[in-house]
Amino acid sequence: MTVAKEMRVVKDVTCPFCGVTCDDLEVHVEDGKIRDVKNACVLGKDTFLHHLEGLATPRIDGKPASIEACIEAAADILARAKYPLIYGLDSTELHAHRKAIELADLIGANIDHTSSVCHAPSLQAVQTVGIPSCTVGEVKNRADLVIFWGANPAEAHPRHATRYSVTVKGMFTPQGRKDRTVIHIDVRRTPTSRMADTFIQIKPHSDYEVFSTLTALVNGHDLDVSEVGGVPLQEWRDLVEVMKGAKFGILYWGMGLTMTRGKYLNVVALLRLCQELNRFTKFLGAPLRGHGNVVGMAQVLTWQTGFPFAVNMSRGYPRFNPGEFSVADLLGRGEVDAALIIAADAIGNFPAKAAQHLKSIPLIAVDPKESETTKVAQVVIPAAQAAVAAEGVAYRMDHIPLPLKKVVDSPYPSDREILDRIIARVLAKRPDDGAKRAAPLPRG
Amino acid sequence: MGEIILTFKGMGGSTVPLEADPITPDLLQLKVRAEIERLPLYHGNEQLLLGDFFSVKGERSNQIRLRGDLSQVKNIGVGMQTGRIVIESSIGMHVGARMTGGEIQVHGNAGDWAGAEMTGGLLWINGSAGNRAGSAYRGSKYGMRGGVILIEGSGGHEVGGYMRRGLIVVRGNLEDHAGARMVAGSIFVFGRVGGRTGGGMKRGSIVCFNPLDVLPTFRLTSTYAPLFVTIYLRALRSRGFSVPEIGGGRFARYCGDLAESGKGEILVWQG
Ligand code: SF4
Repeated sequence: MTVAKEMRVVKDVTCPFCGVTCDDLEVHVEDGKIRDVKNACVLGKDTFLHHLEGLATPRIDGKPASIEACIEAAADILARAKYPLIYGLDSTELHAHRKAIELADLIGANIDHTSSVCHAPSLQAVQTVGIPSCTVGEVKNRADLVIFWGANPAEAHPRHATRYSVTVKGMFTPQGRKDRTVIHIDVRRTPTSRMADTFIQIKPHSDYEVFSTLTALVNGHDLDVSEVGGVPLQEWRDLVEVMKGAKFGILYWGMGLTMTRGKYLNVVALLRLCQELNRFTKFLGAPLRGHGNVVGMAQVLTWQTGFPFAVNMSRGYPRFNPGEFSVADLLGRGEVDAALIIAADAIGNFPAKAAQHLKSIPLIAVDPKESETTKVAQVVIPAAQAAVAAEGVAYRMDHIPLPLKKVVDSPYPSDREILDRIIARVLAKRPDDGAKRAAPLPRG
Repeated sequence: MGEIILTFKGMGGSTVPLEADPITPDLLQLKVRAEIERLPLYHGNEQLLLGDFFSVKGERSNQIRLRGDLSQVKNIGVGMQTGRIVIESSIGMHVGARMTGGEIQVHGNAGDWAGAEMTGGLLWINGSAGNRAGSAYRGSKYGMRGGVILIEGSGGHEVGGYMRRGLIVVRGNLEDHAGARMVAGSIFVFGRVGGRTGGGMKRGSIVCFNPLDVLPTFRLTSTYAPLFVTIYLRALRSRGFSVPEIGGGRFARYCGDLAESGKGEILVWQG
């Protein structure tokens, strides 16, 4: 006897892989397995097609254990810790973010997320000077000048160009690519240079100087130098004219600015340029946010604590200080005494010293898949992968929330359920039921 | 009035930093020994007592002396208004941050944010300071708004960032972005400075005694012998902070940052 095969097509699925957050995917499911994905790019397709590969298993100290026992062990570690760290949270969804913050508040933890090692400097820069910005819809419909700076969307955000910024046709850009001037500025040629009309190659670590120069030129100053960043001043003068002449300009930047010399101050200089250009035309800036739902965690953390990353709760109220409470610094100085890494591979991505410290303390990993972190974690709790096997909400890179669908089932609980159960166990272990700390954060 | 001597007993091998905000002359001068020992300190998420970490000698004094390795101890002298703290070793982050008066002497190195956002008083560091000394906390509009920071060693990144008033003197070197986005005030550096010194500055003076790469958005306006530098150096010497003799030296004056209002200056000693 043959059992009829279950075949389904799930439409309007949101892709969790990159900050473009495409919400037009079509996923074909057969017998609980994903067989095909339509509309996605290669990266997005892989995320869905390989969702069953390399799954993590529940274990404690390397020995198989029940989820129940793992949650108990995790709660034990966290309830005892004096200066714990909760980190990761890029490849998950809004409700898990909220639960993670609730847990951090409960145990007096440091909480930080992947932004801290990618676009946190952008967040800091916005906090410093503000940002003139817009959604990708505005770019699609209006932008006639698109500049990519220190970014390689052709490889990292494959559908950004076709959906939002380069070839797409919009209300006031009916001819798509023909209606736009595209400029790529970077320290080396990449596939993004190929989709641009103009590529300007600058010397490494000269972005700050170039932004300052452009701003001074926009403000009508003459300068004493003949070249900046290895490019003749005249070329920068020409660029300023192109920028001022645009009807609607947008400058997208990437980690080429945020993770190189100067960090947030590079972005400050960029944003000041965009602001000054608004004396002549509409000119905006936006970071090209990379991995999954990193934007979401910054959103949720900001609405719950007032700060976008590097938050410390050890005194019962949120404090913010990158450099003091940011993950790389907490680990680099060897300060935290326990860590919960959720939906991110910290050990695989961190510098050796930080990874070394993580290996030396009680470590809990919550992840759908095996990673360098799960390999060494004392407690491993497998989770249903958000956007594939668990529903929720993710934020696109322009801060627009989009629903994530559950496409297939998983034998494991979702991130939010795991965190919720840990919270319940931590509370149960506490004689005074949390009264030690100040009032909890408002929910929602 | 005698001194209060606090000797650090260590943290039993723990690497979790200790937050010791109550250690200010303003508070300790009102307390007897038993009360001092019962002041709350934070060790991670645990609230403990000062007596758990320090042995206390003396009471009711605005003169405090700290002994032992304090490099993991934060927030000493934060917001202090009067009196004097002498730290006989290196000290952790935020020493003298937001202080409004009084004096702190550090006989060692200081962690990041030393004297951040201070508005008055004197912070004298015999060793080196970390990043953002005299600077603003993230999200604040202004850094130091008054007072003096003297650093005999070197300093890190963004020293004097967002500074609004006051004086920072560094005998050693500074890293990148010294005086970042400063609005007013003075920074003297006798060693070398890193890149982008004065980037985004609106007003204020940065006086350098070694050649540097000036940002393209600064323009050379003149070479002259500024009287105020001579007066500042004399004042520093009279306080016992030794500075090189520059007798009648001339300075190149660069105006900027032209990406902002451009009314700041970098003076570079020409010998
Ligand atoms: S561009 Fe990004 S969001 Fe869109 S399908 Fe590809 S990986 Fe997924």
